[in-house]
Amino acid sequence: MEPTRSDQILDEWSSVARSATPPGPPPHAATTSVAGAGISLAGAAVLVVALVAVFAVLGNRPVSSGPAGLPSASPSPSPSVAVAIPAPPTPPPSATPTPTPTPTPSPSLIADCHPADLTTQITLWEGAAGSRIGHVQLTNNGSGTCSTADTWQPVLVDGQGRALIEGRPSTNATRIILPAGQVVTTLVLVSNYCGPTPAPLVSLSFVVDGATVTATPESATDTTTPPCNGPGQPGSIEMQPWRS
Amino acid sequence: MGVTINVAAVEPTELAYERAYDEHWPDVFRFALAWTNDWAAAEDLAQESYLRLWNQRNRLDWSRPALPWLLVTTRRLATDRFRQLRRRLAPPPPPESLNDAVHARWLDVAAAMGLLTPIERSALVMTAIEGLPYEEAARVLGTSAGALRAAVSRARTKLEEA
Repeated sequence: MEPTRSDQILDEWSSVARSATPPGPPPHAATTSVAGAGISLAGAAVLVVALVAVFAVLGNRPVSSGPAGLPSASPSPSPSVAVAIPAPPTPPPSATPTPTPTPTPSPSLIADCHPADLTTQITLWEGAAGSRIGHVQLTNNGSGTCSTADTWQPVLVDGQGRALIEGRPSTNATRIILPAGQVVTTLVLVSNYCGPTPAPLVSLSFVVDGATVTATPESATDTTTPPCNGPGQPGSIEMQPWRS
Repeated sequence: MGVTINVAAVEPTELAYERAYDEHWPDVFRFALAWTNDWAAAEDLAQESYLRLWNQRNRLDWSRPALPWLLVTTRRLATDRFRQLRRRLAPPPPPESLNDAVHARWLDVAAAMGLLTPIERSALVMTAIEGLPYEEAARVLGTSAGALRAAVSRARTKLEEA
């Protein structure tokens, strides 16, 4: 009997889908991610080699001569930089038990982004049921690569800089690396503003590394606030991690 | 000199987690692929589901199969509104994990499967390809077996007419 068209499509789907391999080892903990698809694996390898070389030159840590990929049994006191880079297809990791490193914020060899080098812009306010979703773009305008927290503390502010709704400080240990000129985006969900009419221009501010970065509003007359869903309830604002 | 691994320092939950990754990553990926019809998104979802599993590892009952938990978590992550918006905002580049030939085949099959809704696609893949019983697939998808049968039927009809 001839296979039906739907069976043919399903067979092809199955064949293609089964060619997938895990993109890397099992995810274990917070890591530093490199923003931007423009960083090649070769570039990433150069970065990793450079980091190892810096450690070696500093004399704080001899370059390991052991087998690659085998972590030591005890946690090392040396600083480490975890770089999450899309890995090429690899065979599944072996079932050999391996100690898992404790997730700790890693001292980075890449400088923290200077807030003055970072610009943010609201590109769109989207209506949602009882909420507003701000589409925000972040650009590294500095001359070099820098790193910043993956999520920031978002604040809805009015034209006089008053906080209308304040988000929780970020406790995210993950950091992203921003090459010069890199643009990343996020979504900020704001709900339930029941205060007085705000002074224009309403915008979003972000507290990051102790500094405040205010986004350019979507328009020159922006007074976007989410609707009041319940006067007795506090407003809320939260953001997603930055993504390229 | 050999490298010594202190096996005693490895918790049983970590071993169970590693095993769950070895055994089920392809299943989780294919489920995510069926739901999203987006290769890169499916890889992200599978990774994120495992990250959730890792974070929950000390609270889970590892005597029970991990796969249903992973699939339900993947489905919940996939329906996250923020995630959907983010994908819409920034269409992903072709996944690096796909070579050109497979990518071309994927684009063709993805176009056909794109005619289906996520639930139709997932229902069809889970029952027709993965061989799951309707009741089990329905539990993962958070629906009834009857609704799942209807979704599979609709999916078949759409693909026949594609």
